[in-house]
Amino acid sequence: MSIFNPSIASIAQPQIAQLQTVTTAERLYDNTRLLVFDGPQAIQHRYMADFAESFQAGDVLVVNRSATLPASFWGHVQRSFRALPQGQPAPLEIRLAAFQGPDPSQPLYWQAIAFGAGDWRQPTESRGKPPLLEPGDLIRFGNDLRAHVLQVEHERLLTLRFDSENLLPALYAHGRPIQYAYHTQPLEVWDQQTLLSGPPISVEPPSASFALSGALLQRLQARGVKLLPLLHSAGLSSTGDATLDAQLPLAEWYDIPADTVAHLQIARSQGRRVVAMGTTVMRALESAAQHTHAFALGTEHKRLTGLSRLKVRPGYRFQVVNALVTGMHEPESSHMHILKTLCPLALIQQGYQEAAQLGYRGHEYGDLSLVNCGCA
Amino acid sequence: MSQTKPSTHFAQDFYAGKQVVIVGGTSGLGRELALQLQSQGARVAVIARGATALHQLHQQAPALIPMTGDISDKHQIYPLAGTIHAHFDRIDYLFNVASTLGPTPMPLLLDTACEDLEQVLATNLIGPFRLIKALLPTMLLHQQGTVVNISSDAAVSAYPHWGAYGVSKAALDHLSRIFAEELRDHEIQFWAIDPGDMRTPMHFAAVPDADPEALKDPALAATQLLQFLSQATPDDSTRQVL
Repeated sequence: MSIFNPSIASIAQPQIAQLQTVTTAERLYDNTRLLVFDGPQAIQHRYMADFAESFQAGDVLVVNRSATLPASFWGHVQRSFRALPQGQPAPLEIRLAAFQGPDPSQPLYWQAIAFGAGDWRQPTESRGKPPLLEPGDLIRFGNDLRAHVLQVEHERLLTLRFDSENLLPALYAHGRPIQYAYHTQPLEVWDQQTLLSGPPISVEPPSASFALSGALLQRLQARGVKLLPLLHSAGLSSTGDATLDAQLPLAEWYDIPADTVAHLQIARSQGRRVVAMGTTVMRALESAAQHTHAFALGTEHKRLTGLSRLKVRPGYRFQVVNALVTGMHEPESSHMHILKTLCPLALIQQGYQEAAQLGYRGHEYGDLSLVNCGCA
Repeated sequence: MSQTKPSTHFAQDFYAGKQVVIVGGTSGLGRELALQLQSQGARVAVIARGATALHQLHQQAPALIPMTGDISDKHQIYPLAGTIHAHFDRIDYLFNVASTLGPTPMPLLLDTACEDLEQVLATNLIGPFRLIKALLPTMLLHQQGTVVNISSDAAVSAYPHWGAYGVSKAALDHLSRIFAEELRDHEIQFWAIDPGDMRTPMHFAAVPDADPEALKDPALAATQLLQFLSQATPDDSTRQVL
């Protein structure tokens, strides 16, 4: 069924069809639908079962091997030297928003968003206001986990440094998965992991990779596709505040291994396609390409790591990525800016319209699209 | 004692820099593997249920990465796997050593409670399976890695009173075989290793009147296993008796 979102209906911003929402964490794997934007005119409807056929031998698929932490924490504020304003010792929720590096084995530094009363069943927008925090505040999540507030922006956007004797076990012990209000059941930690889950630095899943299975990896390998890993902290998708949402995505830490850089240099020099499995992969690669010739053959291939601050907007010219696999998301999301950068708006509208009619499913646990940049 | 002190016959630096996960590393074979691998320059993460024993091992070998956890509990798998991945950029070896006999003295199968069989399978079969699933994709990305599942002659011979344990080890052997078959083209090795009857707390729990002199020193079994793995190549057989 095609459902139009009235909030974006205007002459200036033509409509993009909304898809039905997946309300469970069930994996679709090979049955995941794939909306392929292939050239300025061409739209195809495929399944992930046929994904390998989108590649030629020698093409590369770059994947984000980050695991997802349970990133919602309830705690209490402690303030040194003077009392909190009245009523402030109320509990608050801290949602980690993006890892700031530099060491995934000690994930100390994070951007985070503070939330007040309410829970995940309420839309983020209708949650209560959190207590006003100041740099120097300490948030206590239990006997073995604390966070120092280093910076506060827009009242709710925090920079934190965790403090724990045994940090990762404490994060897993106190954290709960970030939930989506449209889900019928709370997500468990395993619902958030992809096949390739490695170091836990994401706060929401790099969900394009939900469709990956062992069988799909074998088909890609048989086709001669090289799978290249990187790490990127997939960040929070919604803050419940229009001002903060406009800033998304926040600065997110990434780490591209030297071996991946070397293979990308070779692939690019041979004119192979570089396909990014998810927007986080695209963001890491394009961020690393901004101020360096790192991906040109002949450049010393070294590990590339840093904070990704790149925001892809229409007009952006891609440096490394030729095609993107990404979820089917809301018309007004930052994700749609990326699509519009890759494809003419009319083609996106047509694709989403057809997808809606064909019963594609939207959001994190839904279907996927493959966007070939040649059509921009 | 007839046994000589174990000696290493393989290249001294074979395990240097290797990144190794051992499940059940605070006693018997697992502990010896952890200590020998660490002394040969490997980076070793040890998962064990008992925090006290783990703490003691960590004091003895401070470079070890201790992780308290129980792989028979599905809630603990991703926290353990995430922590392992946070420390290791690849995984060269996974040793599934931890196992349980079930209730002792070991009953006839007819007298084995269904719940006890379930618990033995959870620890000896499902737990290793869950952890393998969580770590194997990293081995696939790097096209290298070795999974060692510790087996027993009870996986092959039908010993009366060894029912729950024997069933679990037979299933683990077959799990190893099928994984090996499915991953033959990926440079990933799966081994089901029977280390022989060792002088371990578990063996005395199963056979209280066993003659200690007739049992293998777990340190020797660990040395034999590491030597075997340093020369092993994937072939038709995934089962090996040390």
